[in-house]
Formats: sequence, structure tokens, C-alpha cells
Amino acid sequence: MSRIAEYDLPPELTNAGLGSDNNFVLDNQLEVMTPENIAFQHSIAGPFQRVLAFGFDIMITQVGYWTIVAIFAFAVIPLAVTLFGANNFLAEVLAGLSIAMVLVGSFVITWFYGAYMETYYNGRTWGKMVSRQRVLSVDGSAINGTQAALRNFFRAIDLFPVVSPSVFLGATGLTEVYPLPTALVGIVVMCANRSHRRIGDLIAGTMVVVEPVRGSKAMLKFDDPRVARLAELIPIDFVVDHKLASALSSYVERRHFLGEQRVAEIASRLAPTLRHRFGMPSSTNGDLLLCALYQRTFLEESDEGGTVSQSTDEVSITEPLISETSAAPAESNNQEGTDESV
Amino acid sequence: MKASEVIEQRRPAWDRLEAMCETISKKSSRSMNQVNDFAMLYRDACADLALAESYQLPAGTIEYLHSLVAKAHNQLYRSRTVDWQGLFEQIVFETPRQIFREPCVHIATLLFWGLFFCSAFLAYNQSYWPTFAEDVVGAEQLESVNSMYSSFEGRNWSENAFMMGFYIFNNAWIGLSCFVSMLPILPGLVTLSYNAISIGTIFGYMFRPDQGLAGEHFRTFVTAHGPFELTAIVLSAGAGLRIGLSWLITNGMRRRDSLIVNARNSLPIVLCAVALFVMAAFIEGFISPAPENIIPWWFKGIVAIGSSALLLVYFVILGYPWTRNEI
Repeated sequence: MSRIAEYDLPPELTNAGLGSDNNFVLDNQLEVMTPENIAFQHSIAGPFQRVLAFGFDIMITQVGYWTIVAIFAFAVIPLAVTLFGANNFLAEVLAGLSIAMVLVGSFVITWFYGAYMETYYNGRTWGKMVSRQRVLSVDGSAINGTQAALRNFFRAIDLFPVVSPSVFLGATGLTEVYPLPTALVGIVVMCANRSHRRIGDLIAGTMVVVEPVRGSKAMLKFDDPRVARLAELIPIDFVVDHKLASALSSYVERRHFLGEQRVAEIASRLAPTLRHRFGMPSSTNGDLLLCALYQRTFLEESDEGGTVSQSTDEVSITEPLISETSAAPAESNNQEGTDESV
Repeated sequence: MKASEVIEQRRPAWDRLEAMCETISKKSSRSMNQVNDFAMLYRDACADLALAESYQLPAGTIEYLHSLVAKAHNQLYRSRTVDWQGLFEQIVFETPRQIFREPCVHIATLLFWGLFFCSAFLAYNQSYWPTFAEDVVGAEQLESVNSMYSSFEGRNWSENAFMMGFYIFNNAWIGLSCFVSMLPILPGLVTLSYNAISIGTIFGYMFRPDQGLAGEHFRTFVTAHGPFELTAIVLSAGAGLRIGLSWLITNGMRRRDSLIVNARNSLPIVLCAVALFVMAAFIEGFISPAPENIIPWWFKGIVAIGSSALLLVYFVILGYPWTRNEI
């Protein structure tokens, strides 16, 4: 087997540029490398998940705002009037201050609600708590107050263009009061970059991830007795490497969601090679074979074999099979070897 | 060891970590022991994730571990709350120096005051361009300003309090919008120039000697809060311009990085502007509208001189780079 001598390629033809960012996004999963050298994946929140959270935040802030209004209108002002009398100087000043507080409250809520919540609640507003999202720095660490303030200030640009509701409803007196942000700028920018960051996120260096626990920690069990029977026919010395293991588990975890014919089609990619190695007849059910190999790789517990001596017993039972198939792996190894040399 | 055994063995620890992610986010339930436990469980889960390949765990379990570790990581590394000592140093030492040497603030200052004085002069002087004020602001607008100030006889305290709130709401809102709309530069420059020209024109117009009572009321009204409010407009525009220019002039950084760095630097400037807007609103709400017999004009003048002196101390004396060795 002759090795081809490595020579230097121009940099644009190599992998060098790929990992230059310390994190990159594939399938909405962002790989984060922590300072402790642990790599794990975050799921990025998409535009539509974030619109939901934002909608909830709007609801919350509106409720908060109208609560302030109600407190002043129905509690503070009537109380002042009953205490001091309607035309009293103090009552008038209090009434004026109440309206001032409502206006200041509206200003503070609009510009600082998100910044405050995200600073003090570890990157979450109420909307994000409900929809299980969190704001993080792009390197995966927690955000600080500056980032929270910036990304919330620049939401004003993300909500552009602002149109008058009269575009949709026709001119009435009320429609002029409530300008309607369409958020087209934010949505277009979010769709145009891979980690779905709006302009505020780009400026503050943040991203939004979803947190609910994915995947499953339970093992799949097979009720079908044929799987166990077929598993016993798989040679005991067959070692499943990690690539095959991950392919097997991905297949078995997904096959419930696929139709029968699709399952057969996908199984037909991998099953013939395995049948050949195990020396099984070509009529063996591919799906069952993959399930059996899954069972062998992940599930079969040692209590089936129990002690070492018992497991050697099992070998003796399947001995004829092994002797028959022992040639097959060697043969395929040769084949691989020739493939490489070609 | 088979994967199912590993999972069976490790699952109680994972379940505990998952449950702790929920409880530890509340401050009240964060005892020393719990934090220790949490850190230990997190390290174990990290180790499980790192060894997942050699354990040959199924793909679904690896995905579960990824999300579990991510969730725990977000609880372990929390957002920092405000550092008061650092904030004090930032406000007293860092921010004024930064504003003093910030070229974008200089540009915004020149642009705003240049346009302001040009249009004020043209509106005041009736020989060069006699109809300047009418051409720029419009006769109707001038008329309404004039009638507003000629009938202005001060406000009562209730109106004062209300107007103070309104000024914070309105002016600080405009300031922040001006900052944000500078990102694509042009809209922000238009907003800044528009404000400079229209305010300048009205100033020049109202200071004409033939304005009579309205002019006098106008002069006594704008004196006190002018320094804070006009400085705040310039500052928020300058901070916005810093961000707007950052993605054009990158100083060798990538555009995105330049944007992030400059945005971080310009935030203190715009917050300073918001603080000035709030202070101006208090003066504008309570001192400016008071009639002559309660607060005489010379007192308003003292307020204006005092606030100008304050600004000078902050931006020039605190802002001047006294220590050379820093550079």
C-alpha cells in the first residue's frame, strides 16, 4: 500500500478556515467550548419561537403599565382627594405627579424592562422564562448589563418599519395613536445569519438559545421476540465501532417516526454489508437485523451471560456460525485495503 | 459495560442535576451544600459527555447530555449584577475622559451648534434672508409658537409635575431614538440636523426685538434648562454616530467585531445623555415655567450658569487626560 506524500496546498483549499471561529452552527446547534475544555451544544432559538416570547413580554409590560395607571387613577388620586379635598394644593400636585409617574413609567418600561430582567434574571425576561429561552453571549457565557441594555435599546431598529394601522383598518381617530411595528428588519436580519441574531444581538454580541432538555435518557426496548432471536445469531466477536454505534442508535431512535417502506429503504443501505459479514442469508429482514445489532450493542446486559464462563458457553453454542463467518470480515478488510490503495 | 448499564447507573445523578437546575435558579434555595453538590454533579455530567463515545452511548442519550450540560452551565455561570465600585469609577473617571476625546461627539457638537447658530443668525437678522424663518419652519408653526408664549403666564404646580413627567418621557425617548437611528447614519444625521435647524430658527425668530411679550416669555422659559437639554441631544447623537461609523471605519477589525466593541463603548455616553435629559426635565418642569414674581429671571440665569459650570467640570476638568503616562 503506497502512501501519497503530503504536499502543501494553498490555504483556500484546506480545512484551515473552518474551525477558526471557536464556535460554529450546524442544524441550529451551536457548539460551545468552555474554558474548562468541555464541548457541548446549545440549540439556537428561531425567529418564530422568539416572536412568541416577545409577544408574551408585550402582554406583561402592557399589564404592568395599566396596573400603574390603575393604581394612580383609582387609588392614589381618589385617596388624595378624600384626604385633602378636591381643590387643595397638595391634591392637585399629587394628581399632576401621578400623570407624570405614568408617563415616566411608560418610558422606563419600554426602554429598560428587557435590560433589567436580562441582567438580574440571568438572561431571561418573563416571556423567555415561559418559552424556556435564555440570552447568552456568543461564546456561551452569561451576558452582562451592558449587553442586556444594548440589545434592548436596538430593538427599536429591529421593529422597523413602523406603519400606521390605518393602512389596514382605514383612517379612524384611534389608529393614529398606536403605530404598528412590523419588525420586518429584525426578521430579515435574523433569517440572514445562522445563529438567528437580530440587529440588537449583533451589536451586543449575544444570541438566544432554547433550554428544554432534548433527547432521552431512557433506553429503547424491543417487544418483538424476533429481535432477541436474531441478536443471538450475531457473532460474539463482532466489534461495533463508534461510527456504526451512532448510526445504529440514530436509526433505531427515528424508525418509529417513519413509514414501513422508508424504514426498509434506509435499512437496505447498511443491512447487506452486515448480512455479508455475519454470513446470514440475503433474505434476512434488514430492519430486524439493525434492531438486533442495536440490542447487542447497547442493551444486552451481562446478567444474560452472567459470568465469564457462561459467556464462553454461549460462544460454543454459536461456534458453527463464527467459523462460517470468520472469513467474511477478513475478506472485507482486504477489500477496504484495496479501496484505500486505489 | 453496555450502554444501558452505564445509563442505569448514571441516571439518578442526571435526574438530580436536572432537578437542581430548576431549584438553584432561585436565590433563596442556594445554600453552600447545594452549590457544592451542584458543581460536583455538573462535573460528573461533563465527564459523562466527554466519555460518551467510549461508553458507546446511543445518539439520543448524547443529545440529552448535551442539553443537560448546557442547562447546568447556564446556571453555573450567571449574569453578573451591578458592581457599584466599578460603576462609580466608570461615571466619575472613565466616561468624562471618553467623551472628551471622542471624535464622534466633536463632530456631533460641531454639526449641531454650527447649524443651530447659522439658522438662529439667519432667522434673527432680517437683512440677509428676510423670510428665512418662514421658509424653514413655516409661518403657521411660527404663529403657534408665538401665540403659545405670548399667552404663557406660568403654570400651577399640578401642571408642573405633569409636564416634568412629560419632558422625561418625550425628550429622553427622542434622545434614545436619535442614538438608535444613527446606526444607518443617514436617518440619525437628518434627525440631528432637523432638530438643530428648527430649534435654532425658533430661537433666532423669538429673540428678534419686535417679538414683544412672547419673546420675553420665551427667553425666560428656555434659559434655565437649555444647557442640559441641548448637551444631551448632542451626546446621544455623538454616541449613535460612534456606532454608525464603527461598521464603516473598522480600524482593521471585522465589521461585526468593530460594531460590538464600539457599541459597548458608546453605551455610557448615551446613558449620560439620558441622565442629562432627566435633570433637564426637572428644571424644565419646575423652574423654567415659574413666573417672574416667584422665580426671577436672574435666578434662572444662575441655574443656567451653574449647570453650564457643572457640565464644564464634568466634561473638561474630569475629562482632560491629566496623567500623561496613560497614553
